Amino acid sequence: MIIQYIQLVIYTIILVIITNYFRFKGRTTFNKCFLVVSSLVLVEIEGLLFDFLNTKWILAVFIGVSVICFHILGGLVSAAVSGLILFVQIGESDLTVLFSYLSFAGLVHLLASLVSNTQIESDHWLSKLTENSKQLNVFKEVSFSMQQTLNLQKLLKTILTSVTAGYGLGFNRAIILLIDENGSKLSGIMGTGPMTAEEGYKTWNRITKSKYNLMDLIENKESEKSIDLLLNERVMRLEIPLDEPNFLYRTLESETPLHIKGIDENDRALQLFAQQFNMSELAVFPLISQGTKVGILIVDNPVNKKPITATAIESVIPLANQAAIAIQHTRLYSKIEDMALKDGLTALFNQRAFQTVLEQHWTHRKQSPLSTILIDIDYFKHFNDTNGHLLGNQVLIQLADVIKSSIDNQDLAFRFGGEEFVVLLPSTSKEAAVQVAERIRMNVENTSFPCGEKQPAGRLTISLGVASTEEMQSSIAFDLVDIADRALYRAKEAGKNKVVC
Amino acid sequence: MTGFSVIVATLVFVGFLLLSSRFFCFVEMKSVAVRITKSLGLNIVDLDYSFEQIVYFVSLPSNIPTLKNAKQEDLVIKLDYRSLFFPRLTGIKIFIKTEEENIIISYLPTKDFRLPVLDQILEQGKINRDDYLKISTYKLIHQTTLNEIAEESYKQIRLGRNGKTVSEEA
Repeated sequence: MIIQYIQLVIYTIILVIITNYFRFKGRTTFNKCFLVVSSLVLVEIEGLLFDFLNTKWILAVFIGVSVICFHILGGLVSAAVSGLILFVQIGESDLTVLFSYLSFAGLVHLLASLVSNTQIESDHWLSKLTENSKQLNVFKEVSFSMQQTLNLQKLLKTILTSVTAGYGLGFNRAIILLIDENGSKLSGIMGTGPMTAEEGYKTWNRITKSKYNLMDLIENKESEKSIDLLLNERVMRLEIPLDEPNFLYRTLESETPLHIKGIDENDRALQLFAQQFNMSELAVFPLISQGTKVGILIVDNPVNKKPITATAIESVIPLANQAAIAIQHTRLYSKIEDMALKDGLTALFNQRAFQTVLEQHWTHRKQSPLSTILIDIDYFKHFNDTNGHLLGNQVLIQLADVIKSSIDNQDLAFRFGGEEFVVLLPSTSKEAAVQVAERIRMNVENTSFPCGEKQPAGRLTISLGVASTEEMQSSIAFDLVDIADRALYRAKEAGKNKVVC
Repeated sequence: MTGFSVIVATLVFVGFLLLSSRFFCFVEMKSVAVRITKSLGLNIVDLDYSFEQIVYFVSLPSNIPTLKNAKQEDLVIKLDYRSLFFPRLTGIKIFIKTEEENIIISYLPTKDFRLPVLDQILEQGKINRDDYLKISTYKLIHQTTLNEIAEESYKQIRLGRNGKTVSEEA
């Protein structure tokens, strides 16, 4: 008897090893079938070793395994097969046994369902927990990053990166369009993502290889090798008028996200996006801050073609709202900064800005010379007395334009106060500065100003004083202006409409 | 006495089946993963992946004393399996082990563990989703990957995303 038990244990172990070795080689159905057959083999092994004395009991294992594998259907079929086995092998045809088998199958099914439902529920909670935790983490990091900057470009990059990075919300591509000051059109500002799937995989490969995290991506580590150039080139060309009912207009009007699954041929703006960016499914989010429409955020998945779900759309909404507030703040800050540093009449930078910029460049004067030109309108008091201050203001505006158009991109023009202007010329020698000053003087002389002919010289003219750090010993930045001022005085003394250095 | 054979057979069959199924499942997964990657000219160990899908349940860096003072050897990774008969790895849990309890700090769902090279190959139709899952799961539970994930998680709770400690940030 002991030998029979030892044999039973050994055969069962061998059976399990063979079963487990082979059942995982196939797909799920093969796996389940193999397991059911294996339990049937166990029934036969036990029967052969113990003369089928307990077959009616060991068949419960077969029924149990069948129910676990194939649920109710497995239970019904296995109960029927068990009845058949009992009849064939030991000649028993008791309906009570069959009923017991069915009851047992039902019980196992109930238990299995209970376990399965608990597992499904647990998986569901885990999925919700990870999803929400991830969104919260993204939101925290992005909020932190947004608070660190008042630079619009960096802010937009933060928003786009957090929407597209795997660490973030994981969309393949995102584009931001902002509304102009009049609210009449949307202009493409920035985009992140590939134009093709291949390009997307290349970028992702590179990010993965470098093990960049969200902050690295926001901090521009990836942008050095950015291949979003084509996308941005196209985005920046976008100008969508808001006087026609296109999908962008509709999104802004409804103030809710729009999920577009197909391209409407009657919507020209949508067709443009489909054509320019190969979009087929996209989600559009309005960026609204305290009732003010700021712009639009568009996301899509051109690389993995993953369908955009309602949950994915929901996850972007808090970020879009936060982004809208941050963009609006940045714009307001920039406006206030402009007001503080720019002259309201001529739109040139003012004297406060000049002092700051002068100090910045002053520190580099030993590496490269810094020059300045001080400009004053000749007989401007006479002009104002003769023609009035309103016309005087017009002359100042026109003169500012002439100065701006006469200097190079690296040079900076400021309104110094009253009818005085100053031009700062970084990395410019005195000789070159005199040439620039002469160019300005000539351009002014050749420009027709209103009532210029009423000036003592028969036209509006300016005097200019030039100074450079090349010949300076002083360590005080403003001394450069003093020298230019003295030169300007000499120009006036020498008969006006002159450049003196 | 013979009725005892039913109990023995059932216990040995079910017990051994459940105890060994994860092992055989892993052996088969490894064999398939190695075979497929070899046929594609890839080496599983060299496949790049990112930590981006690890979901943290604590602030980074953490200010909780237990986590703040934890050593790297206190960090434990547990494989999160579902179903005893048909084992399926749903993810990996990362804990900090203390004398009183294990504090879960993060979770990496298997379905979210993506490898760019495999995604590209999947897109090209050279492998199917089942093959992808087998390869990515094998890569995920490879000891090298688990060690790297443990290091990364420890770094995150100590230094956070910016590489700064809590006091430095404050």
